[in-house]
Amino acid sequence: MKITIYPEKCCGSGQCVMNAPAVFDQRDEDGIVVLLDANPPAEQHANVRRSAQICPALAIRIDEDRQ
Amino acid sequence: MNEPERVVVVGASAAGAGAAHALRSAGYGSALVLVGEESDLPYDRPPLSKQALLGQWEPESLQLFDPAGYDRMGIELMLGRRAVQLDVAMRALHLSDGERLTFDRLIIATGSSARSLPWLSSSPNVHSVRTIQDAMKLRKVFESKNTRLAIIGAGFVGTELAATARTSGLTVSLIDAAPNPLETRLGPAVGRLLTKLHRAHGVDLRMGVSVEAPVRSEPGERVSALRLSDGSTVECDAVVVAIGAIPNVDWLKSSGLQLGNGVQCDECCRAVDGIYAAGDVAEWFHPGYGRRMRIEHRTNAAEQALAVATNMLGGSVPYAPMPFFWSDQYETKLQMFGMVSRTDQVRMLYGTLDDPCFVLGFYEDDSLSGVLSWGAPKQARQLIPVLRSHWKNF
Repeated sequence: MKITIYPEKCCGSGQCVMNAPAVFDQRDEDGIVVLLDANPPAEQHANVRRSAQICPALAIRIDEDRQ
Repeated sequence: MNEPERVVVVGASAAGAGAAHALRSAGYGSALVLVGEESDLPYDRPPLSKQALLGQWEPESLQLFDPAGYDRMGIELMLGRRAVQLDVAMRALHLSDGERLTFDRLIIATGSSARSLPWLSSSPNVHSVRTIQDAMKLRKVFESKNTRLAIIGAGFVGTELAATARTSGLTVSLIDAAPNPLETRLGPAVGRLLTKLHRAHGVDLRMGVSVEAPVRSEPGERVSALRLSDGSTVECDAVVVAIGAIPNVDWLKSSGLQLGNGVQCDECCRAVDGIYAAGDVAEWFHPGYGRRMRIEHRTNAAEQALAVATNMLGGSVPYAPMPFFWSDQYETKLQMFGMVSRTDQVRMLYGTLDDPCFVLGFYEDDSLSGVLSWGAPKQARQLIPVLRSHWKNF
């Protein structure tokens, strides 16, 4: 799995951090998404998918087949 | 419960399209149809009052999902057709083109429509902002910097539009019966902050007044001014009506489903056996708050779609989200977690009013009901466990 984030779209909702804290964080100053792990291990995949599905700003893209 | 053989999702926006994708992600492998009134592929609505009007994002970048994905995932799109009637006993949906669609499970995600002012809306320079077509029409208005824009309604859409229009250099009047913008939803303390913010950006605020009548040569002609209840007038080249939304349930009136302020559902978002609702149209029982509610915000559409997909495939997970919205006003992002009322007491939890960023707490009887971030979302999010601890019934 390969994750791409789009900080310019991010609205700082923090949904990704709540669903996958090992993979996403927020910047302290404005809450914009920070990607901690662009190629997370398999046990994180379900959390990451949920983060991307829920993100209200469509700021997370997942490529399941890429590394 | 058996695995369904044919699922129909009616409503092709964030909730409906999200539910269809979630069903496939959860392993549902049989027939799946997505019906939508608009002919465009499912798109995202929040940018319609912001980036789409500024010309920063073109319609392609508003798409919710990869256009090629529908085919690949076996989601059959039936767009440009409106559902007109539901027959629960026969498990059939009637569409505006006369087609009858049968299903064994149904997701209702028909969303909401912009409330209109019938005595005003027939004029060609009166707009609303709900669909991509609305936004493309309004974008033309925004291209001329000499435009004087009158916005009726200072809620989420009205205030965001005012900010976007001022950013574009337009002359803006914002009209509302409440004393301050968003006061009806967020109370006077936040309302006053928004008054200050919009005034500092040059918005002509007309608060505490209503629109009495349009000035135009005859009905159906262009509106050249609005006459207000305090006797003043606002001269304008274009008008936007932003006075809220109403759930799209008219087509369900003969269905026998319980309709209140939306399609009434249990805590698993189920209206009746095999029929679920998600997004703006769903009035479900929130187990944390112990009452039915309907949420018109974007995050809820996505999250409720996931819950419905899970429950439709045999789960029975109560849907208990932390309500959330965000709003972009100039350079400031507002975010709110929780459910607040305009009468809640407001206290500063982080920062001060003189800081660019702060967090306000809303209290009902000394119990934290919501937190509002003014540019400090991470600090606000960290209070979610406190908010959740006050849910009495969950």
